[in-house]
Amino acid sequence: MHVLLVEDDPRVSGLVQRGLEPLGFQVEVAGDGVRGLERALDGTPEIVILDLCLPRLDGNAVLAELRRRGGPVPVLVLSALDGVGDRVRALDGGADDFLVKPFSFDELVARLRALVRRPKSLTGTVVEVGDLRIDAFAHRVERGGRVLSLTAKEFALLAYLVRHRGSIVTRAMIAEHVWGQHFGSFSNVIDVYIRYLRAKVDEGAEHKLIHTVRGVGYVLSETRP
Amino acid sequence: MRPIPFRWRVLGPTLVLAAVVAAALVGLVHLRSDSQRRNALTNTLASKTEEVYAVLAADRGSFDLASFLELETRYASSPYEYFFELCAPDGRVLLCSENLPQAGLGPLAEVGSAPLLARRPHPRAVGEEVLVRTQRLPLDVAHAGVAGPVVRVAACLAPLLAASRADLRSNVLAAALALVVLAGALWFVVGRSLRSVSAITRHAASISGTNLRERLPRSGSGDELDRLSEVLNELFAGLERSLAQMESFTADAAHQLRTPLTRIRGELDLVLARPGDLPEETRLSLEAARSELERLVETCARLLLLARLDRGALVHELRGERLDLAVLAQELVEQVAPLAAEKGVEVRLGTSGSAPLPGSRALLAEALLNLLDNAIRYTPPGGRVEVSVHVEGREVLASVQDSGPGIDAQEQALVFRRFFRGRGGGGASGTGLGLAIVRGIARAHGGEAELASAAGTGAHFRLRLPAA
Repeated sequence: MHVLLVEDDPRVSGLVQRGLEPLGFQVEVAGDGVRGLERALDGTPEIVILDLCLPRLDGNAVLAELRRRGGPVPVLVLSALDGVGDRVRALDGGADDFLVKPFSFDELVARLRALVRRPKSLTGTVVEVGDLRIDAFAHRVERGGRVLSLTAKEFALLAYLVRHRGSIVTRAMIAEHVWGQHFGSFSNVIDVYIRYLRAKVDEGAEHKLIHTVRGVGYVLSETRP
Repeated sequence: MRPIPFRWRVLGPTLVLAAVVAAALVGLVHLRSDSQRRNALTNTLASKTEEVYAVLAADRGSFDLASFLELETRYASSPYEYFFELCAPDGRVLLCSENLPQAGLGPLAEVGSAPLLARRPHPRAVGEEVLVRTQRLPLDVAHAGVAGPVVRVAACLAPLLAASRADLRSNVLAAALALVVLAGALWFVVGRSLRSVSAITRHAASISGTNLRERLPRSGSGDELDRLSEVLNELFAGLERSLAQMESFTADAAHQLRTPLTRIRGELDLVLARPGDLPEETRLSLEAARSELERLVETCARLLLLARLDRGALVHELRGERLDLAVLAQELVEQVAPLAAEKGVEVRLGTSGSAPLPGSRALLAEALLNLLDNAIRYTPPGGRVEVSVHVEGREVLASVQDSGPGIDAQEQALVFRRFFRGRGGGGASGTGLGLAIVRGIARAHGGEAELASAAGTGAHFRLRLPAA
């Protein structure tokens, strides 16, 4: 997978390069905003990792120009600023995700994968994962033909896992997308909900569907990751 | 005790001093004019004695009827009531004015050659007094066979005393009037200068932590008040500078830490991504380092948030937002309910209607979550956390009360301090910044976060925020 990394600090870009390349990403580095914009438009990156504090052209301007010229490539913004305003500005400006430095590698990788494999739409469709059937339109979940009764939050969490089935989702991603929460440590609450969900979805089933990836997050899949 | 207003502190002593001075002046004037009047009377009595002596001397000791009649009429017609009496040294009355009773002026004292002044009871009017001048005359009254007769001339003191009293009364009245005028003038003048001071006080009070950029207006006159404004302005400027330095230091420090933290975290992640390559001991210590790093990252993020709250940077971005705190509290309580349930703690929410206010949803959620998180953490299993949101006057009050051990008396004042960790211990995971952030968020919204419980009862935290 071809990744364009727009980052002016060579030590950070070197690190990301060394971390991502063994995982099958080809990382191209652009050291400033102008060069980054050029490469995002001319090159063929499948995803752009964009730092906000850049020489020559700042990250938000790169993003605005890229979107104005119709570049469809998904952009993950990497920022040392973590104010709500910074996040909102970047997402409103066309970023697809926002990650605050210092980030963990697992978090970065999980988010890149989630962005590249565009989440599958659930609306009005029935999705099956193994013997789990989830009907988002009717808010109806079945496992092995047995109807499960889920609370609204449990359903939202399951729907998020199903949309990203096969990919790891981190607790921070769940907190952001299911609870709309960017601050604070939310992981305890998420762990409790996952436990509830497991009790309803996986209890008594031959194959477990919800798997924990230690220290990273969770994945919904038919096979162990 | 209520403080005494400055106006009274100026007026009180000044008026007391002025009253003392006025009383002393009135007293002095009174004594002086009294003694003048008494001297005048004494002189009159002396000259009247002279007249008697002159008449007697002219008649060479005999009584000329004409001169006697003349003397008598003179005494009778005088505006002051005068009496005179001529006695032998043994007290026998030889002659007295018509207005005296039979007994005359009363018993005669031993008289030398010098005249004698004395106060005696009034010969006719009860309770009044007369001033009597007694003098022995160096001549003989031949027909009565008296050598060195004694002349007593007396005057009633009542008119003199009345005049003295009237004088005193008008002087006291004038002094009192002067005092009243002085008090009024002082009240006005002090009040006027105090108004300028009050204006400075009000203005200075309005310049608080959030708008330190403002300055007091200067009149340019260079007077004491102008200098006060100047000194206060310098103080504000210094305060603003040091606050700005402190804030930018916190922000810079947190920011500068992020790049190296990113790299340390990344390097650890990279090494630990291939745990099989590492000896067990190295892996364990690297994992310990990474989990320690997570805490550092969290502290760093919270410090940066605090720095931004201090600068008011977040509020400008988010003032436009409006939200219902009752709804937000409901959502958050639902979120944490499973967490509490696992611990055996019951979370109850009490709201009365909606509680709309302008503010940042994300920040207020952070504040309430911090309080909820603390409450659940410190409440033992079987305990209860009560959350309530309601509008009171122009404020939205949100309170979180737990049935835990509460907060020690000596820690009450400290809980909102940065990096304060109670003895109760929030476990090793806390950064010691949670409540400081809660307070920062409340203040950024123009409100306050406070501890409402005393020691010995469960902790009760309250947010007071301006309502929409």
